[in-house]
Amino acid sequence: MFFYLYDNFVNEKKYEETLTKTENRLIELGINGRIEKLSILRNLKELIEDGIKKGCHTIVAVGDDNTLIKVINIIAEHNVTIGFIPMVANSKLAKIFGIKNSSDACDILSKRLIKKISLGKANQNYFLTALTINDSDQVAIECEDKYKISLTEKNCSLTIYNLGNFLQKIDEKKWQIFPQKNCLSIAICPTNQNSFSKFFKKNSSSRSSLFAVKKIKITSQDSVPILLDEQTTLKTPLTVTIKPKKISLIVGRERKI
Amino acid sequence: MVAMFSKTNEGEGNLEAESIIGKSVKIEGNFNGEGNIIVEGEVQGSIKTNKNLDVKAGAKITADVEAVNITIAGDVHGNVKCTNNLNIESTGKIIGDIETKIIAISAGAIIRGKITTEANEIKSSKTEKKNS
Repeated sequence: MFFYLYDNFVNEKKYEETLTKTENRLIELGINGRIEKLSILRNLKELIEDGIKKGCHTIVAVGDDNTLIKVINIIAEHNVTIGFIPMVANSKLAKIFGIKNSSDACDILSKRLIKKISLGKANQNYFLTALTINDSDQVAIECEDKYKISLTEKNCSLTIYNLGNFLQKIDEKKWQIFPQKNCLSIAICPTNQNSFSKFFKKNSSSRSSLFAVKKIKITSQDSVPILLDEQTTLKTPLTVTIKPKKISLIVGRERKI
Repeated sequence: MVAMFSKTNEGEGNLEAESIIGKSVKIEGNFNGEGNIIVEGEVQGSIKTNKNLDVKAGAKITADVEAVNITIAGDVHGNVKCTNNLNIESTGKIIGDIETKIIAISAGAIIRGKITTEANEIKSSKTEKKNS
């Protein structure tokens, strides 16, 4: 059984037409199912766990990237498949997973092409795309309990990628960090350069660093904010690992991963 | 460490399996990899990989290094163990013993230590441990 979780904002008038079209398409495809609408008064975790208890095998996040990330954080511990219907045009995750729009998402759900995707874990929080530290000169990084990374320059950005750097200017960059098998990718770039690509152009002073690691400990004297998936902010100290069991996500054929 | 990134533009070629220790970074400890490693910054401890190691000019390594093919254009203070081809560039400096199968030394390179070249395959330290 399919379980559709509508984010709060989807109830706004401007989404009414798209939502009706989407629901009709789901009925046509025969993949309609239980619908729950999120609100301040409804606990997402309870809703999802209740759905799973009642036999839902596919949980579909209907909303934006934030909706999908919230749902994934709860579903990560359960053995169910995740789907995504983007209701906004600028969904970066939809682009990564090869979903053009809400109508395309319905067809993709019906075709049920499943991709196993790894999740990063920062303390008790899961992240799908990346973890970013802007004040990287204030943190100490230890990898695999074997070596320490320290920065010899100030103003470096530190990003730990799970799914590669697909969220950065997809059309402009020349270089691509790909998702690693059972590893996270650490990228350290001086921020006086505008984009990642500048560092890797021939004849340029290549000062950025890249490592593939499984376990990273991030500590600091004072608490430093760390941004997960461009949505959630955590503070140091953090232990970042990769979740051993992958999640199942329904993706389109034009996915980037 | 596995395939890290590649250029997306056609015709510019692909780089594979690389970890880059950039100029803005210093590593302390045992850096063990399974892919190619490029060092442009500082490393203290040890570096080991089952692929290639490229120590760029300006890099400072105070560590024992071990890899299949090694190119050294920077400073290495420590023993170098290479199971295939060691190439020391004119800017390269090694203070330590060298063990390799094949060696190429450019004019201007500085070496202080014992050089052992073996026609037979040089065993990596992992293989040696298993056999002993």
